[in-house]
Amino acid sequence: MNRIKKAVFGVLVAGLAFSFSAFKTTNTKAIVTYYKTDMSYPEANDPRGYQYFSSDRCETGGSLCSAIWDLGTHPGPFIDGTPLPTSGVKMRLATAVEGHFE
Amino acid sequence: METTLNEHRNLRLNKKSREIIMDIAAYLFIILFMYTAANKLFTIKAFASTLAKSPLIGNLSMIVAWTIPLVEIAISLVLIFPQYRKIGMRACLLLMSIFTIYLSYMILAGSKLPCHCGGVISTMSWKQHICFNMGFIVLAITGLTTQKK
Repeated sequence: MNRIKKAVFGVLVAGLAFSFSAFKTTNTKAIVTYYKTDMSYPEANDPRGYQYFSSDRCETGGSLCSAIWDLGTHPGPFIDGTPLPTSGVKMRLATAVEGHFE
Repeated sequence: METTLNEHRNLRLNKKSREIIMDIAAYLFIILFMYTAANKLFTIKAFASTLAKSPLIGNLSMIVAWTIPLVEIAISLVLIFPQYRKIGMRACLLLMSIFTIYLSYMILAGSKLPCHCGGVISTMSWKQHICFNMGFIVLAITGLTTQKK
């Protein structure tokens, strides 16, 4: 009986962890990583110079490679190279990643 | 002499305590593996592209990207059942050791390190990632030690 209780609790824990992660991952479509491809705008919180890429394009070395942006009401980017909208977006705190765009 | 024996007896955990330690370790691994597996599966393309940058994985990135979360789920399922927890904990120890050796190799070899790791640990640096893994390795060893007769 004790074993059954433990197994049921294990299933519960596993289900909660999986569904919480799935919810968090799929529910963050308006929160997107953008890559600083144009260092003419070196400030991390300056939305200019950022582009969207679906894959990881960072390399080590450099002060800024990417940052996570909240797109607000803008639709999510679907095509690589899409620039970050310059208004109505907000950089998420402490999400700037060091490095440089490849 | 008697004092030493008494102290030794006090240090030994009773069966109930050992069971509790094993249960906590198992549930923590279940949470870790299920959380990271879901994250990897729901962002499988991005995860594979990160792995593709690794010199050790390269062209096998898509296979490895699917294998890792599926193995994590399989181990979690084994850990759910108390009678198989020892096997599951050994698998945890093996998997975490492989991850840690891989990360250490990447750092020591000075390879071109991708910036993102994905999952719950995506905000960690590679060195922090190793420390995190070491913590879970210690947890697995603790869990296994308590099961020794």
